[in-house]
Amino acid sequence: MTPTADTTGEADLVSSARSGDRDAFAELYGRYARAIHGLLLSRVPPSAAEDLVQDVFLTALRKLPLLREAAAFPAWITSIARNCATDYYRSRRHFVPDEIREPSVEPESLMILNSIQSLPEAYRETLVLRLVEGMSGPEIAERTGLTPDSVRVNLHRGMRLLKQTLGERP
Amino acid sequence: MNEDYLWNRSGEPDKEVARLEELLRPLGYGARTLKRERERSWLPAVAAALVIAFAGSLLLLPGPSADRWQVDGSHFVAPGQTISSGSLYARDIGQVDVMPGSLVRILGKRQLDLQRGTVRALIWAPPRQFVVDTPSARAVDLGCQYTLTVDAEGSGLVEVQTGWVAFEHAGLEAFIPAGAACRTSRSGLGVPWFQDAPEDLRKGVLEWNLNRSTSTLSTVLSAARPRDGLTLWHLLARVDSRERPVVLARFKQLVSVPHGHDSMDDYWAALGLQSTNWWRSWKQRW
Repeated sequence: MTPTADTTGEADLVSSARSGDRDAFAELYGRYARAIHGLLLSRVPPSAAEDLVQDVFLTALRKLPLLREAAAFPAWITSIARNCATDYYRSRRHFVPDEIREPSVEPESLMILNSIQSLPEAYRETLVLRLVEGMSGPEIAERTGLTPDSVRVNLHRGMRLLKQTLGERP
Repeated sequence: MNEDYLWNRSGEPDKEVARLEELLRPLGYGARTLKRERERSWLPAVAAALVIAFAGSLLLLPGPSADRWQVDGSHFVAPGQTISSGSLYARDIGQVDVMPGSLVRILGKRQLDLQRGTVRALIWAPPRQFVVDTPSARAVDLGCQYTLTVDAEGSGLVEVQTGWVAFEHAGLEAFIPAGAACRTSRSGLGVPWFQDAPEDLRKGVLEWNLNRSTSTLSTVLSAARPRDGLTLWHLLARVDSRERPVVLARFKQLVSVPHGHDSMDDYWAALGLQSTNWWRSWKQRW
């Protein structure tokens, strides 16, 4: 990714946070919480996603001194989020159908989210970030470390697959 | 479908996309008011969790990921291909920078072959998920950041910045923590040393790795500080039976070993290199 003024500034932010600057870390939290929530939501129920956002950032804070290359922060923290989602399912002792546990969610919204969650990983992540979190393609690329071209392809193919999936539902 | 609207919301809104956005927006971050089981403010939790982690690996299963390494954020390389410079990235493994003039063969997403040159790795995969083969040893990532260099003769040098790396070759192992380094050559696997060790010890270790002479060993032992117990621990497993008591005696002078605790495991624990159980759990007991 070609360094821009924003990415260079963000690298400084990561470096400061890595040195213990809590304000810098809070700024990173503000910038990345939405993307992390979206990545989690592409895998876990809505009720779990918001709590897991905090778990991800706590893990990131603990391990930040180990991140030597500040520019790798987007990919690094998204990796933490994915692993956090995996661990969520490993720690679940009893399966509870998601529909029962999400009384505050419109059934149609949940049905669409379930359809997105059934798609291949690359597509579901990008679609959640775009359609649920309201992030643009360039924003998705910036926050996940993916190239803009990859994001564009994922959005296009993901939407096509989602339409097929929704069209097949009764 | 209006692709521009899907990409960055420019142009005429695509009806289908807009409808999905309207239905899904309530699920977005901060948009929902959930009945929480407990209130959580991240700042106090952060304060409680603000420790500097020495070992850097995530003890979780890696998430689903792409099959190949991506080079410089653009194209992908497949197993069998080589790369002589550039930045390799695999989402659930980490990042490996290949310095110009190097030669790295891709063996798989979790295995590279460094034939010559230098790589700098930042690995966030769980322990033992990523290895780099060199002509003289295998470097096993235990969750860390390190630099690995191989010269024209196939000799290797690993310098660990964070976390741990293990070197394995011909039944021998070396465990290299942050701030330490280890050499390997076609004649055998060296013992690690801390890079801030006294010069006599560093030179002595390099020499001993090559000639295994008693006089060189004496130099290493006399120059060792308590922190260099790491080096002496490895020597315990490498020296012959006549030299072992001398090494052990010096080890116990430098490192406080509880009375009655006399296994290699006990000596390792006495080094105080923080808990290594999270990657030692895969090992057989020494």
